[in-house]
Amino acid sequence: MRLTNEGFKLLATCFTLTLAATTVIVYPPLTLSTYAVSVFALTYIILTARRLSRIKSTAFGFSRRLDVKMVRTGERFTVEVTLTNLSETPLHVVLNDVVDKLVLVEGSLSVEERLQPRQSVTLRYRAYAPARGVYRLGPPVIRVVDEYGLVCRVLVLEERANLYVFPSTVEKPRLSEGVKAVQNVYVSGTGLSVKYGVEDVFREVSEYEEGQPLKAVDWRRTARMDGELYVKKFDRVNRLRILFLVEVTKAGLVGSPPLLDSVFDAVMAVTKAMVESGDIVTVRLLGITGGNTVTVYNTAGLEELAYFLIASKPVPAYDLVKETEETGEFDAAFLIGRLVNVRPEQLSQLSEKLRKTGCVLFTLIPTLDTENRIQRSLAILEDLRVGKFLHIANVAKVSQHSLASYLAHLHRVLRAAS
Amino acid sequence: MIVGKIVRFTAVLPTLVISLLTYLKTDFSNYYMVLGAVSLILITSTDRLKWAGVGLVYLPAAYTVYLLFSGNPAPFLGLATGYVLASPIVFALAAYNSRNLSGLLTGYFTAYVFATLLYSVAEGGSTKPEAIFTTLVRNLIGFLGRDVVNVIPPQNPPIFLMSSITGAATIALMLFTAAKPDGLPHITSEWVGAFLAAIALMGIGLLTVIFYQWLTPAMLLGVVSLLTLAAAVMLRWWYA
Repeated sequence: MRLTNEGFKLLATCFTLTLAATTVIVYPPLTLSTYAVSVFALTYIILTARRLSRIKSTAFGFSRRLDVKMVRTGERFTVEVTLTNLSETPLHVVLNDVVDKLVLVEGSLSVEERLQPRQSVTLRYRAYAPARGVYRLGPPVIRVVDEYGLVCRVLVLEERANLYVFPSTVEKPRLSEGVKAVQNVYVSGTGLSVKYGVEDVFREVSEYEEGQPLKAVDWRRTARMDGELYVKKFDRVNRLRILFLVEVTKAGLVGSPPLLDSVFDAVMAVTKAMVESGDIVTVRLLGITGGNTVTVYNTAGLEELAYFLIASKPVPAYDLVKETEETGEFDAAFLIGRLVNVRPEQLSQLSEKLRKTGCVLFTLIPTLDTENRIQRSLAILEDLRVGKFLHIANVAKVSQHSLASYLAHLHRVLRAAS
Repeated sequence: MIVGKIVRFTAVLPTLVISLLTYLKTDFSNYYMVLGAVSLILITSTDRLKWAGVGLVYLPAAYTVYLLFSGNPAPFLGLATGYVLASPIVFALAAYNSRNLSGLLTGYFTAYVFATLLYSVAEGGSTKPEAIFTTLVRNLIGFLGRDVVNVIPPQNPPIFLMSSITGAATIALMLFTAAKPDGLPHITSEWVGAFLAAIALMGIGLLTVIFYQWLTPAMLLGVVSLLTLAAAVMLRWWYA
């Protein structure tokens, strides 16, 4: 329970004037008048506070709605916060919403209304997120103010809501970049059949055992035989296990959109294509301590991956050797990053280490699109720095906007070879 | 809207009545006094009149200062007395135009005190502009110098008349809380409860004034202090 600014001013005024009227300036009519008004104001505040204290958060219905399903950096979206008076009495409310670090472009974060029972008020505003990440919306704060604006009850309706802001898609993909040839690579894998693609390979027919799915029943065989149920068994033989090693360092924050956002965007897009093809994709963020790996088995896991990538925060530096001490078994691995903290020999060692486990490592160094002289000059310096990595096998510089197509191309090559 | 205006006018009525009683006793033979009073009131009026007020303030002020240094202090003292005499009206106007109760209450109290002080000076026999001004200045110097304390007026306005008007003004101040920009005041059950409590406690205060006058200031201040403390405790902890 709180006094409003006006309530506080009134309380202070009443006390000060009563003090003056009873000590310095004693003229009975004025003294009694000031005293009466002070008693009135103070009693009113106490009685109103008692009434407002009975109002609970259950007296309100609340909903928040965004006009887009997926929020991307820089894209404007509308938020509608609706508040309904579920009580049986009219309530004067001030609804305030909080938008964390989002940039407000239109509308207000506060609305004031006297709500009749079952009446609603909607707070509508437009905002955008300046960068990828997890933003907080709310919690909405309701101030229920008395009729004369002296006392208010503050209610917080819900916890904060997380708003995941995805990196903006890279604009203007170039066809020539998408179809350019990649260098010949040594590909390992355990696949046996190109003919059957990702479909499972038939192994045998056996009698049905309790607990097996009905969809596995071979109805033709069952119909031909003596009434026993038979099931088909398949082997999954050409499912690729793919590992993404993504640098999440502050070196990736250059450019607009940042290189890191482009990398995340490409990884998400390609992972979707990969799991739809039946592959298992593991994404490990280099530089993030604890909980830095997510494995996606099917499309249901893409959402978790998206939130995982969005919530990551870049670190200044990382140790490639330490981060890749335990890699597990994979058919292919993609290391993506500017390699600012990596030495060529470390990369070679990693490549060799993975090769021994039957995994081939591709290293992609994303580069910015140059649009002016300064950027071109910086790109030349970057080329000089990156040049020392290019003699290592399967290392390539890839333009920021063609990362996704390049990865997709590599994936097609891998599948064709498996 | 008219209800709100009536309420606010009633709230500042005591000041207007006391000022009127003061003006009836004042000698207006010095026209600079009238000029000073009118210009100060005009400066608090609407925008168009405000510019006229600025002209009416600065030009006579500069001219009377010139006359003062030329050896003729009467216009300067007349103008200054006019300003002083108009001050309760100016405070009353400020209170009338106030949009919240704290502003109205402050304006009401200040205007009332100034009006009572001027009435006391005029009733004490200082009716000439020079006398009014010099008496006030002397009192002020005495108050600041801890020499002669003359803040409590020795000559009060008629107590019966002022009690009635002040009572009406007090109710108007309470009604102002419930007044709406348009339409009748919105009276809630809490307002009625607070009003009754104020009347009851004022009745006790009135009895104290009549029978135990020495106890009155302590009793009134004690009640308000206790209520303030109770309000603070309830808001901060009880109803938190």
